Amino acid sequence: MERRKVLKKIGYGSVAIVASPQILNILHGCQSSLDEYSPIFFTKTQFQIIRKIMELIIPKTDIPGSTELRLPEFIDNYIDVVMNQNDKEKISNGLKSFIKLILIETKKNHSNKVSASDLNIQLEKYLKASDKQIEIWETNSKSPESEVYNHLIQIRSLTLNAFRLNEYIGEKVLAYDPIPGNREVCLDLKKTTGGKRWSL
Amino acid sequence: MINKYDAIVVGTGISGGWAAKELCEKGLKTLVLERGPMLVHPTDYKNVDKDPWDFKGGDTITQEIRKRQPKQSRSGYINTESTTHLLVNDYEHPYNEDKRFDWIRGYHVGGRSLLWGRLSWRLSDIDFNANLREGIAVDWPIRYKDLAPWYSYVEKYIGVSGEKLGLPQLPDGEFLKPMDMNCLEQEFKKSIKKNYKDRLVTVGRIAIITEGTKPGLNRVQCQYRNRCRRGCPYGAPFSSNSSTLPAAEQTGNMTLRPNSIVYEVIYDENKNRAKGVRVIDSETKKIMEYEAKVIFLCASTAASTSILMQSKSKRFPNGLGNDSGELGHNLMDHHFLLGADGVYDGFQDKYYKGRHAGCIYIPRFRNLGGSTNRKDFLRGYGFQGGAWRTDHREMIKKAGFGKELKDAVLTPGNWAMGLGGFGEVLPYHDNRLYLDYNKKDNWGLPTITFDAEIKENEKAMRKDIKQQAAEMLESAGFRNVREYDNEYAMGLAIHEMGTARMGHDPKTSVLNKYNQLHTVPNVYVTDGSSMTSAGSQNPSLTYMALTARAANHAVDELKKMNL
Repeated sequence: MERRKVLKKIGYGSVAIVASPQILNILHGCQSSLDEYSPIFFTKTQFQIIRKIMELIIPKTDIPGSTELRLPEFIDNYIDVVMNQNDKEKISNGLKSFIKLILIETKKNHSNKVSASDLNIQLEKYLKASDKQIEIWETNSKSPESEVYNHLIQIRSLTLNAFRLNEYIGEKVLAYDPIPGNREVCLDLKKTTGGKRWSL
Repeated sequence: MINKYDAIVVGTGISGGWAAKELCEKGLKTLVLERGPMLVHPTDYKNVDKDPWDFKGGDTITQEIRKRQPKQSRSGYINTESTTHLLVNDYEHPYNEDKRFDWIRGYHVGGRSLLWGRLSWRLSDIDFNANLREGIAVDWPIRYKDLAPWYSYVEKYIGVSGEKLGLPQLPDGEFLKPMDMNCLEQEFKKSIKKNYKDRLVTVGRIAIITEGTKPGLNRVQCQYRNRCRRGCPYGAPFSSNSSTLPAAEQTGNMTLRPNSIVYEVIYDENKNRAKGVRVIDSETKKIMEYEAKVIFLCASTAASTSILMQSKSKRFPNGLGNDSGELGHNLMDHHFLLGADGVYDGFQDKYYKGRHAGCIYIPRFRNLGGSTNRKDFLRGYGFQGGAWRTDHREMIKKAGFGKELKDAVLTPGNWAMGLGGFGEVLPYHDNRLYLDYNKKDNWGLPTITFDAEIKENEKAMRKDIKQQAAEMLESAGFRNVREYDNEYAMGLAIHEMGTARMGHDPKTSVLNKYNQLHTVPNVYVTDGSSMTSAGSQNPSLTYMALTARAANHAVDELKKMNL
């Protein structure tokens, strides 16, 4: 209830709004410590790769992107807090396989030399694959390419989950209404939320 | 603290709250014992205003929670970060499983009345007659007419929203205005009406105030937050904490003692009556005795049964009131976690406001007589479900990654709908719980072992549930319809019941038609353990009606000096 009162006071109603300069400043303030972040689950090298992949999945537009929203940091914590050992190992092994594959394909000798455009090529290949290709990867789950495909699908899923669970996105970008007070159905989407989904 | 009362109530959940209210309002000085700590409405509710991003895992079951609650985490939903504190630590409160049994427990004042699903249906004579008609277990000693006025009494007090349907298998009640179904749910309702003569779609009857107020502590109408299980500061959903316990408190007749583990009903061999209860203080481990003229066991099915089993005497060497040997047997639940879902292409310009804490419902349509009767299984099931605009799967696949993906997930997504079956489990004698005296808990008390499973009847019913769910969705124009059947184990519906069943005959049942022990009439057991069959309806409303009826009977009997 308090949160709603505060939001109302600073002029945010129950529907989507665009980021105000103050809010963006807060986000930018957080960014100062970006490179100082010590990952908990990923190694530092892995984390750099994950951060680049996630920024490609959720890039900066008129709304902050993955890096600015600190989604990689969220995922690093999320995996540590929520996942069991088996799932952690699966992510870790999937990422190792992916890095191994990309180093071979780019002929680079270290993952810190892998660029966003190198990763973009891989995401195009795996996350925009044809239905036929996806079916092959899904049925032949033991091939190295299949492992990479499944890994990238999972990283995308974790990224979207982090985006959905982000406070800024939830309260300032999506339609946020913690205490609706009533229920109405069959409403016009545009008039109700400006075409955005409810965050809760 | 005095140790003599007119009545003792064990437990403060759905049933205990009602026993406390009724007995106190009828003038009995009543001691209410709860094994867990105090939890006051609304000041003790945690996390009521927290959003998903206020939790480390976005309000999920974290590894730390799994360590404390490995068994309850099997539910996949009940003990997320926002509600984990309302459930017990599985290691501090151990139990044993000959077969997997998911025992979900909230030990605090109010018990699981804070956590329940709030769906509130009446049983019908189709249910009360079922055992007799089919020669299953024993006959219920009551019929619908015995309970109908008590259903009305309870519904008027707690507030149940819903619509009247005139169905014999789901009797109408005293309803507040129903919650609205969204566009797709309404469309689905029309489709089922058009395509099926044997079934219909309605909105869930749910114990949430949709208009006006109800008695208790400032209970007002629903704010559509869908956070009932954290404890609702508005008191819109019924709980003991917001409703019945404040009513009992207001009479001045209630003494509520938290942290009190009742482990034995003391039997007076000379008077052939219960004399009182033995209690361990959960914090000091001090043992106390309290006496009363009448005792209500409302500790929940397994706990009340365990107390009776531990209450051994020369007269009752196998547990109080257990001449029949049925105590601990006939354990039931509802089987679920299966059905179908699908995607819908229409209503792309439509949306909704307010988060519905209920569901849509398709009442039972199998084995109601005539052409509805099945050869492959007895009894029936209902469907609980709903439609939402939250499905981004196809958008995600199409966009892949990047700006298009980001824009897509900010929109409401496609409409999708799910239907989940909720089926009756028969009362099998060999589905049981028993005590293990070799494995004691922190208070030196024997632990409960569960030995129960669904059998052929339920498995045959499950095949039909999946098929019917998928067919209904397909007939309504859904695409990508997918049947699902997730792992179900007994207990997971959190509807454990039947282990001290009611019946006509002391030789085959534990309780009589007023929920009294056949052989010790001043002990009433009114929680789920008293159920003779399960029906396919969520059972809490029946526990409340049975409790109110039993309390009324107890007071009458006390006046007549019969107890």
